[in-house]
Amino acid sequence: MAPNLPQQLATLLDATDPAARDGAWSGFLDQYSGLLIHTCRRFGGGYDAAMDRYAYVLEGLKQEEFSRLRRFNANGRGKFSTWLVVVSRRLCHDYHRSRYGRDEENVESGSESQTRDVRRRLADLIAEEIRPGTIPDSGAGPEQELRTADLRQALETALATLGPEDRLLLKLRFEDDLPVRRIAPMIGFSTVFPVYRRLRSVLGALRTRLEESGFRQASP
Amino acid sequence: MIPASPTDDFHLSADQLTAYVDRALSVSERSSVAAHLADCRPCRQELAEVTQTLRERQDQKRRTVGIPTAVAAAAAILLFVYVPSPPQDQATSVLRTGDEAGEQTGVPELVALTPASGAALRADSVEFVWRAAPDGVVYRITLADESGEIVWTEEISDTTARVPPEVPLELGRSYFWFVDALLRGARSATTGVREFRVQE
Repeated sequence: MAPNLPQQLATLLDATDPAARDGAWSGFLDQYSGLLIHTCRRFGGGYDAAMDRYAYVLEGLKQEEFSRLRRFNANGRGKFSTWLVVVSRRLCHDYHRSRYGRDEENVESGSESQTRDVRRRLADLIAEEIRPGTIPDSGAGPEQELRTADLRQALETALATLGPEDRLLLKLRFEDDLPVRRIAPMIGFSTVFPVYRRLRSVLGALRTRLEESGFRQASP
Repeated sequence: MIPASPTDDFHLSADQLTAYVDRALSVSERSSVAAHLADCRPCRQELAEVTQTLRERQDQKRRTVGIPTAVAAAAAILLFVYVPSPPQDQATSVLRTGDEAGEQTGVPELVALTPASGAALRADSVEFVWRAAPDGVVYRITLADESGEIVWTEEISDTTARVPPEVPLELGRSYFWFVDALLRGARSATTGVREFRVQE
């Protein structure tokens, strides 16, 4: 057994006879049931739905002599509590699919127009950084549409030159529309200020690249 | 393994997502995971949900831990009532009773009333209001922009303030504000930092 497993988990996985295992399972739940219930409740629905999911998660964790829990690799690359939330959420997804089918993926994969809208919005946001102005509507003439397409192509090219963490930051902010206070802990900052500074810097770099490509204002 | 392309039908493993959240990856591994996240919306959604779940749970635990602290503080205040003391200490104790965070940090906290944190406001309707601290205090209000730069600060004795017209608030931007109360006896209290956004 890895030496740095949490005590309750180590006790549970080391228990050999059924009585010891039951006792260890109780100890494990004393420690982690709050986190598990919170994870199940955050998944949505009312109290009953959350409790159904909780029961499913517990069954999933107990299955085959705690085979899921045995997969936790206590190699210092993450906390058990974080890992338990990730695994529990995946079990919640399994439960949701078993009851309602794979509707979530269908929604996501069939949303090309939504993706286009988001890219358009991001393009508009970057353009606004150059000079605030009116974004041309789709009723513009063919020449303007062509220039708009050129602007978006230039933006795509500029985005492709960014590092992965900067692209992730832009996706979280402008595509997923998450507030900065939620993004900060996701990318490892404890306050919002460095995120704003990073955003400003990345948008500035994009603006420079667009200007180098000959785009100096929002209206192409 | 991280998939070579986001079009592959793979997502981050539980171990990868855990290590990313807990910042336990090497620079190159972190970059590789970030590249996948940038192109994979389901994994980004999972990252957002896991982070938020952990954060809320931490907040819950902090509140639970805060209860004994609050009880201890209340007991201390009750004890304090029976012990004669200078007026400036009474002022501080009144402020402390209202706020859990203040009790935990030892810094008295003012109560900010409006705007609510995260509110969206018109630029010409931004008015800051906070609850009065006991007599004899001066308040200092500070407004900072998204980069953390202070755009306006002023000392006043009232419990309301408006941004002067010469300080323009930009549409679509977020701003951060807080009020410090300068109390007698070289003590201070604060509302803590609050955010609002300017909209049309």
